[in-house]
Amino acid sequence: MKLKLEGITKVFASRRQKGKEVTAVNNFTYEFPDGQLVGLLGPSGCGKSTTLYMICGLQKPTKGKIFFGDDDVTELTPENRGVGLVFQNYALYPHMSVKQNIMFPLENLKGADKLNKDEMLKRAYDAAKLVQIDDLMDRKPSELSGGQQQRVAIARALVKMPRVLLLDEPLSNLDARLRLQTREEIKRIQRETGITTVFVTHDQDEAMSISDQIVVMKRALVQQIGKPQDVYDNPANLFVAKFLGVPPINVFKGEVKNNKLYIDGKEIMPFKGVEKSYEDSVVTLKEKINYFIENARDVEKEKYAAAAQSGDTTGLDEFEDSIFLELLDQQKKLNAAIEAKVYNVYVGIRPEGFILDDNGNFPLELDKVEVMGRDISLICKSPAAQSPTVRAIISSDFKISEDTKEVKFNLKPHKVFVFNGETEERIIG
Amino acid sequence: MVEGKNQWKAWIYLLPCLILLLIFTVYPIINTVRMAFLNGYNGMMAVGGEKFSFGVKNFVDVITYKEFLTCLKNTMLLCVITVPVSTLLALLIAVCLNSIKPLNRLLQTIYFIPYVTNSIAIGMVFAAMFNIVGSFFGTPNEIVTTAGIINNIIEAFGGTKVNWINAGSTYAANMTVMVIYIVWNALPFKILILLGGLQSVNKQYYDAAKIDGTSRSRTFWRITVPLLSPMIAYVIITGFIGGFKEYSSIIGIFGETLGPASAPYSLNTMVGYIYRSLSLGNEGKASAAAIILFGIILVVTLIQLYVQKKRVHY
Repeated sequence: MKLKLEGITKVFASRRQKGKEVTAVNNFTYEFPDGQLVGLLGPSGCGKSTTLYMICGLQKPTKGKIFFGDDDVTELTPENRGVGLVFQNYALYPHMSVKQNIMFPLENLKGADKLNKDEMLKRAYDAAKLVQIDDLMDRKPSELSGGQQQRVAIARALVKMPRVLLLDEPLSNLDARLRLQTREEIKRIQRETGITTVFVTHDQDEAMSISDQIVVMKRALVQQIGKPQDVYDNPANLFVAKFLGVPPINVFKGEVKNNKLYIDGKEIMPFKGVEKSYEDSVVTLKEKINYFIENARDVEKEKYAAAAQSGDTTGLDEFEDSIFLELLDQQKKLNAAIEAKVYNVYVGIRPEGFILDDNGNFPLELDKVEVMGRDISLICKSPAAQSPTVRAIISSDFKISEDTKEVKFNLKPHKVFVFNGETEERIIG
Repeated sequence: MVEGKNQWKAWIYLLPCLILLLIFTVYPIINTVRMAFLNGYNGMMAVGGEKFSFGVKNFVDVITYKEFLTCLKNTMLLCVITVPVSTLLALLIAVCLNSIKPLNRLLQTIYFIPYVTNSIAIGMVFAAMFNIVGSFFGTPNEIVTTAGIINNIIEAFGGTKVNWINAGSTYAANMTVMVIYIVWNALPFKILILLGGLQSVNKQYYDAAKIDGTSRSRTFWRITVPLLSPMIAYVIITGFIGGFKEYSSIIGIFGETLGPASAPYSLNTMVGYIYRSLSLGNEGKASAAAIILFGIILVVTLIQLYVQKKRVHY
């Protein structure tokens, strides 16, 4: 079953200030492919759970439409959508046995779908077998481990054969070892049933490892959608690059001059096309600002439009209008950068993108060496780095002596990403 | 655990409370048992130096006394009727209150008012409401001015006046008024407890039920009630204990006659009997009755705890 979101938007009344609104999900359009596992990924408060709740019908989108296959389900109540939802804390009924918990959705079926007791039992046992808990059917949830409770919750969601299976932070309540095991399990169950599955997580590792597709979100906006490896290899902006990957990407402040990329004053590699990219950014940023104004509430449209026109932001609230203020700020800085022809960029280098080379053109001060067995982590320092340490992972075949003070690297070009210093969008060189 | 050296400090902190407990709780309990087992014990005679023999005569007297049996019957009847009715009503109101957003706080306060109102005062208001003649006496020559509001309402709907509590009223009518009064008076506490329970139920259970297409009534009986079962059990047990101690409500409605003027003491309860025995100087009988009441409450509570173990979930 395909699952299609068409421009869904959710606006909540602000809790902080009366009469204000907060956009939780902003114009989310995507067609979830049939029979695949899609991970909604993002930091807390980015709107991923709200999206999930809108898909299952517990929350209604303010704007936009949701389709299951060709059926428009936007106006349908949860029970009429045919979704199975696994809650973050499982929400197993504590007073019912595992068997009763799994059978509960079946007992609700009415009319032509109504099942007799034997059929219900059979379906319940089939679901239980799928998640391998058929020997625990008479226990109460309180007598189960976290992982077992999770399986019961999945069985309960699957037993009525939903068109779409939704998982809300499915692994967050499990310990590290169980988490690894369970995520394999979720993947297996999803493959075996072939149900289109959407799950929400803030753990990029989790999302990368089991998803067929990932959707990266930040502050109500979709940042990038794609196969996990593609998103990792080709991040659309600095946020996505930083959010994906363990250990995280190393970010440096750099500069592009005369078609060459400099970090900390040292020439790293040739880099073309930054001027054109900056000029393109002006256009896309303008579009973003216009989109924001268009979608603002009527009472605020004028205020925003005036601020965008004059650049005077005195009437705007630092907290409530932070996104808009940021956009205006970016616009100002972007124009200034183009005028001055100074292209300050962010350079992201994946830890595995370093090649140790005595003749390398990228020297870093070595702080310490972490031996991981399979490979070595060189913890370095650089004044240009955004974080206090820079991590480079190299093969353990290299031997680094204890008293080495400086290491020199060459970089793998496809592991180096350059981002616009103002809009943080990726610049393809 | 307090180190041995410092234990005396702990005792000093506890001392004021312990002294009060010893004087006003422990000693009276022991003395009650002592008086109950001294045949025909009477406080005044005891002060006069009279000695009483040890035995169970007080108990025999109490149990074979007709008025005591009336009290026992009244108490039992009130308990058996009011506790289930008030618990069910409280559950219903609590669920309704919990699902209302606007005015929720105001309504909660309104429902709580009976709890903080003097029960004698409420009783007198009830007496006025259920009055038939606008007077307490109902003697033939008394001028009939107005009936109570309940009878006015009954007449407005074309019914005939009922003699609820005045002279000549039936036992059934008296009981009806008592039950209404006690149920109404017991609601606030129960609503408060059940509402607290409802508010602590994880909302996700309801979301899960909603996704599974559970009907409202099924959600109520299969999810809400079982999850509330510890609170329901608590409310029932305290309800029974309160019911067995019912007394002030009867005073409130019927005054010191503890029944309509034509049948005084016909609505007396166990506590009422104990109180009357005390005022008549029969401390021995009063103590014996108190111990019997204690025994009944104990047995009922134990039965409930046993049932609770089987029925109350998690």
